[in-house]
Amino acid sequence: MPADGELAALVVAARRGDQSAWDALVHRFAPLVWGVARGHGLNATAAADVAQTTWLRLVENLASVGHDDLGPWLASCTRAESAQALRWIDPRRDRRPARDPDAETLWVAVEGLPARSRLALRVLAVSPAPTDDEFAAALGCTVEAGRLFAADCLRRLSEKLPSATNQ
Amino acid sequence: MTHDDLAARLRGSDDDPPPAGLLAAARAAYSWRTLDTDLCAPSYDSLLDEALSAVRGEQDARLLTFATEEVSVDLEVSADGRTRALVGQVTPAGPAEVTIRHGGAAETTATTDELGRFAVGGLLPGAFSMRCFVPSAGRAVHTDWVLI
Repeated sequence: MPADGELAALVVAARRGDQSAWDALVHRFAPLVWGVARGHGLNATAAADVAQTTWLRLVENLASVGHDDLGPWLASCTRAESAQALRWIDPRRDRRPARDPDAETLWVAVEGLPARSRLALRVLAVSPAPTDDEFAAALGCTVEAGRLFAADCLRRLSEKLPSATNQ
Repeated sequence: MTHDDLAARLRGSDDDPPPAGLLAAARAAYSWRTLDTDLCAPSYDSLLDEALSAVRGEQDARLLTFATEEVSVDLEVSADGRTRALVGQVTPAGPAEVTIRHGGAAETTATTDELGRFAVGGLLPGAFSMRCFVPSAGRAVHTDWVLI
């Protein structure tokens, strides 16, 4: 995964017309953008539209987004587009059952929580793990509120899990 | 289980990765960079207008305005099943060439009349952006991407 200095170099190169630098940025942040869109309950088609709109926006705004703002900027843009999409597109939830029974148990438990908690947990599930700033941008709250909310969601999720797997 | 353990377990259990098609489209988005025109940010979006939300019906058209200091574009977006239609007004008025990028890869062109008006239909849903050259302002502008 690109370290901070490498990320800065990629952004500079992408601004200068380097397609492979752009590709590396896509690879690095696609899970975050996808996770925020899906965390809003959008089906795969709607989430792809939202994600692609976010990427197109980044292409247009590359000159003004700093490398250390990139993750939060993408999360924030995806959040705004997702919220609008929910008003404009009819979302049909289409989560496929997980292959692994333990994973299935986990995600079924997530489904039973309120919408904002489902969003939080879907964003927490992104790899690489979201930074505090990225998480806060995805949820549209302050970093401090985000930390408290993430801890609260994880606590409520653990309470919903069967105690046999809750070790 | 600690919260860190549970968060790690969530990450390990995530089997909903970004689809390959999206990754390819995101990489390809780079070729849409426009370096020689002014970017028009949206200055109005009826979807965000709280005053309208109470009275707007679900099928009402969406109104968007994009503006720079010299040029403004007023658009009315409507949906007809799986296609989208645009009715637009470019100011300053006059014949202008309009190019609409839509549905990821498609382009549709139109010419405004002497009052700066144009209409196109049969557009694909998805992110769209409009580019136009306005002779009377001597500027080429393009609108920021919007999902319709």
